[in-house]
Amino acid sequence: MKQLLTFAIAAFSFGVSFGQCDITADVCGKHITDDFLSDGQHYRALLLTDQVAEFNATLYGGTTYRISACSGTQDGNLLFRVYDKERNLIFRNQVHSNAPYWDFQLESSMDVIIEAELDPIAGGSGCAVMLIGFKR
Amino acid sequence: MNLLRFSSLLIALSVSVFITACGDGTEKPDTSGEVSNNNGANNGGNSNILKVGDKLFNLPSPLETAFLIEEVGGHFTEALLNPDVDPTKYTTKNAQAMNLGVYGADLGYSLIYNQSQNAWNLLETCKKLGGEIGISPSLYTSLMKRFQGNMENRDSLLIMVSQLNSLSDEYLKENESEDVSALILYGGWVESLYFTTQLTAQIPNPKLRARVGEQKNSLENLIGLMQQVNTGQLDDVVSELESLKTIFDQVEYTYEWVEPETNEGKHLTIIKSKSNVKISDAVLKEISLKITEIRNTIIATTT
Repeated sequence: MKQLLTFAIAAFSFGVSFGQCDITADVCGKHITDDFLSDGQHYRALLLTDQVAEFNATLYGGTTYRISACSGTQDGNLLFRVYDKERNLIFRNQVHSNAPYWDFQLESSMDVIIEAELDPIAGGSGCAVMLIGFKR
Repeated sequence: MNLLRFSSLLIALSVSVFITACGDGTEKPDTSGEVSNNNGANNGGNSNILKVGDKLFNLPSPLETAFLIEEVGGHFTEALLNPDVDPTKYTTKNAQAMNLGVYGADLGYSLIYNQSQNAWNLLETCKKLGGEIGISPSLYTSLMKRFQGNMENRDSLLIMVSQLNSLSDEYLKENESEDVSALILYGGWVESLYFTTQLTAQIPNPKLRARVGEQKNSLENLIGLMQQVNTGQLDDVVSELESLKTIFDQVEYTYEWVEPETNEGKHLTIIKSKSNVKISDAVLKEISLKITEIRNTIIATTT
């Protein structure tokens, strides 16, 4: 019974989290300011505390991109890391106070892998949203 | 007893919410050993890595390509746009979605060159097609009101259109129309590559040429995306893209890691790694012919 109850609560939380994606998207969207244009795509994933979402993106040389990554209803709940395809670490927001957005200026075009996970301090499960904008 | 009733109620409610959130809630096997569900997230299996919607595909925005075309000195060429301005000829959801992507790219291209009246007409076309595939008309209505008041302000119009694209994508994904979203991206990607290849024949610019070659990775993402949403109805699309990929396989790509520089105060990281794309004239021509064929198939598809 205890296990069933735990499952039920987890499943319920997950469902509620999914519904919160809209709110999270609003939180995230405010970081794509008017000097950036959205790439027109909306990325999201439901995460439990120990899970990592993986995003793959191609970024073009000579362009500055803004990656905005959020979870829940406030900034700083999502940890994200950017790697190249060879898994060399380019950036992690954890060493920058869980910054909810960061800009990346590319000298050459390249493919990157972005990993995102919930900050364990925030706890629980949640909807992770990532938005990408490019500078005009 | 009360606890049992409460638990049963909670379980029923939870399962109901969960199923609602996740579509039909079914899980399908993944060749990577991971498990996915229809809400776009995978259970991580042993690795605890979630790949969003099996894989997450970022495709370049058609606006990025349009900016590049402007940067290299390309002029507005109306003949590059889909000549058919009657969206009612597209009667199936697939044809409507693909051509919404095509018209969306045409819209971005027109806006970059301040062709605001042309852009307005394309926006009306997009509204009609968007309505047909289930995008809330209110998204367009609101945008079009603001558009009318800013016809001469290119920057504002570009912001509005990019926001519209993002909101449309969000709306479709919220309504479990991932396949429609993918087809719109497909149409937009094809139209943008069509623009670029057509212009490489007129403007011998290395950046333009490289941009064609750089689509090699985007194409792989696009194929994966289409395969993910294909339940048989998109076999032709996947087949066409795989055929295009055999040509792109001849594009050479090299990459060298260089330590990036981060400026905390500016919230900025400069990625200094180097990449290079080599594409021969023959391969460029082959890509151009194939993408023209695919694009013409899309805009001629009515059912």
